[in-house]
Amino acid sequence: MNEFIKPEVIIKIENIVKQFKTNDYKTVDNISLDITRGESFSLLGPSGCGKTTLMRMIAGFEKPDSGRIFIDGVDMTDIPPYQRPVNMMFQSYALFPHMDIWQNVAFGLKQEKLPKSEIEKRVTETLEMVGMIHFAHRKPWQISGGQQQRIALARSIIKRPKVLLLDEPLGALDRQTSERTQVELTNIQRLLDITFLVVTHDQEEAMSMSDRMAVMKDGKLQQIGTPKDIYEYPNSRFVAKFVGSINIFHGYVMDNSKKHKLTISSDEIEAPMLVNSYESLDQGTEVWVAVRPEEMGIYSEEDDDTHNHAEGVIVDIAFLGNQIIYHVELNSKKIVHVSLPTSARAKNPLLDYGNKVYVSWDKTDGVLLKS
Amino acid sequence: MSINTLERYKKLIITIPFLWISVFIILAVILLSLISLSSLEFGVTPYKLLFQFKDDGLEIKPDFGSYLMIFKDNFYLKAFINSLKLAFIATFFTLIIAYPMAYSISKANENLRIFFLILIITPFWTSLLIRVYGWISILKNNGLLNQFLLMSGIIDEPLHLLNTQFAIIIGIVYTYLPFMVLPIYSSLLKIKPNIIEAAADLGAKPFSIFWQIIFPLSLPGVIMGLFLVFIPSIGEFVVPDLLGGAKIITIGKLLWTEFFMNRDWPMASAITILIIFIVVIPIKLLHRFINNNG
Repeated sequence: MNEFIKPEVIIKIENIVKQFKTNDYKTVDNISLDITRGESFSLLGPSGCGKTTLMRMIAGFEKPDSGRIFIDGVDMTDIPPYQRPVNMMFQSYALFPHMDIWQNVAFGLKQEKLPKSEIEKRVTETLEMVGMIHFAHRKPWQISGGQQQRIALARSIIKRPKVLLLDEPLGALDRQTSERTQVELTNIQRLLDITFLVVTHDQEEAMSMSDRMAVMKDGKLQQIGTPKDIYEYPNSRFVAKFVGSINIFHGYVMDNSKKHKLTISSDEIEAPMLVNSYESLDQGTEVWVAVRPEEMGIYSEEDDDTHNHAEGVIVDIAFLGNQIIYHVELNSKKIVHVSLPTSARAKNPLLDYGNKVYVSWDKTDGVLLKS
Repeated sequence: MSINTLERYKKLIITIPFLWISVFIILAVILLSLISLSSLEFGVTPYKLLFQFKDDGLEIKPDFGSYLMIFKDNFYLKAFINSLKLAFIATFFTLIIAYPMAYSISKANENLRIFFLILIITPFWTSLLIRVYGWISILKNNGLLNQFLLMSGIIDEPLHLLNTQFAIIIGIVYTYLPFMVLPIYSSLLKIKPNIIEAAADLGAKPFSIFWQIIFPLSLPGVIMGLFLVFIPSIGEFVVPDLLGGAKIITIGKLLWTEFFMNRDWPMASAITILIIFIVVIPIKLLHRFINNNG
């Protein structure tokens, strides 16, 4: 029946629409998406963008108004959650408070009525994998948040789901725990070869955990790609701003005669900017040029003609540890952020408050955005 | 407000319930036990206290007569056993009826939930006596229930319902239902939806979700409800008096008779003290249950 679905697609989402009765907008607005077996895929977006609802529909907690969901080639749209080959790690962990750790982890296997010895073996194995075997007989409220999360993870992988759904897996953890957990999650994913679908509003979390990611806004997918592609080549101002910080210059196409290059005039910057574009746009088309802070440099004079540049004054310096963000106010009053390694400041007397400087970036570094 | 004045206010606030409990509960129980050990006498206070001041000092002469009588005379023991039996059965049926009610209210949407809760509390705006009288007109031989059953052809002659144990059980279930529904409802409401979702996600079917997750998590409410119904229904007077007739003896009715009819205060007090003992045992058990389950 579904032989046209390629075997490597583990989740196929077709034209899913979901609108809640209390809302006058569609929470998920006609989304189609393929997730490949074995990959770690993130749904990234601000709160209310529909990413959680999409995940809950894959788990079976919500029913789509229209569209289909296939898991491993089988139409799961109308199948209740307890019959779906996916498991979810909840944001708030949702451990059963009246059961101890062991019973929590064993719960899924007990539902399958597996023999006791088999359950015992697998629970032990899984608890050892997450390093929580010594806590087997504690109650959930007797262990820390990070430990609770390990149990939630153990409970959700013990049935070897075809896809593990992770709802904001690092959201509630402090930075240190979150970094460690991230590594552990990735290791477990490789070890068990389970497909991960992560929902998160944190771009760092999404970028570091996933092979591919999708950026969502207002119930629609904005861009799908590898974290690197999305970071380097965002397709809209929304994606550019949501994934990391970025400087965006508003302007119009001035000259389209050069091959794969456009000259942009901007009211925010004096000299015309040159930017790569494989698409030739008409003169006068409204565009935006986006440049990452780390792609910019600060100099005392105008650079050579392989660079775009703008004149300004350093108005603020934000120290972030390994790097420093310089806020440079251009002549047009626009403030751009330039990120330099902390070590650069000591060597360069130019990098101080009030200094008149030139901000410049390589002409191949900017990204042209049409929306 | 400085911490010191805050502390002082705290003490003041704690003092009020503390005084209340010591005066109206502890003092009352002490008084009751003293009276229960006194001997019967005819007079304005119909008993002679167990200690008397005489010329040669204080004379203490406890009278265990009332207690001995209770244990010797089958009549009292039967009343105790009957009351306990009625309380057990009625509490059980209250639970059976209240749990589905509480469950469906907790699952209803917010507006409906408030509406149902008001429905459950509304009867309290009418006096208990009047409500129980209402049941008489329903249960009596030519009452509403019998008329309905006769008319619909289910029975040929009226059932004798009033003045039976059955009528008492109906009365108690009716009277105490809200005390079971409300605590169960509130503990069901406390169960986070994602815990139920997690169970479904891990493969539990609705039936298993109920028995493995929902019911165990609502146990605190169930236990609270059981006590709120069981304890007062042991000593219940109004319901057995109005619906149970003269032949069915319960402790509540006995207490009333001893106190107001026989004016045997020591005996009435002894019965009361024994009821307190009966009630304290299950409370102790509850305490242990809570301690074991955190």
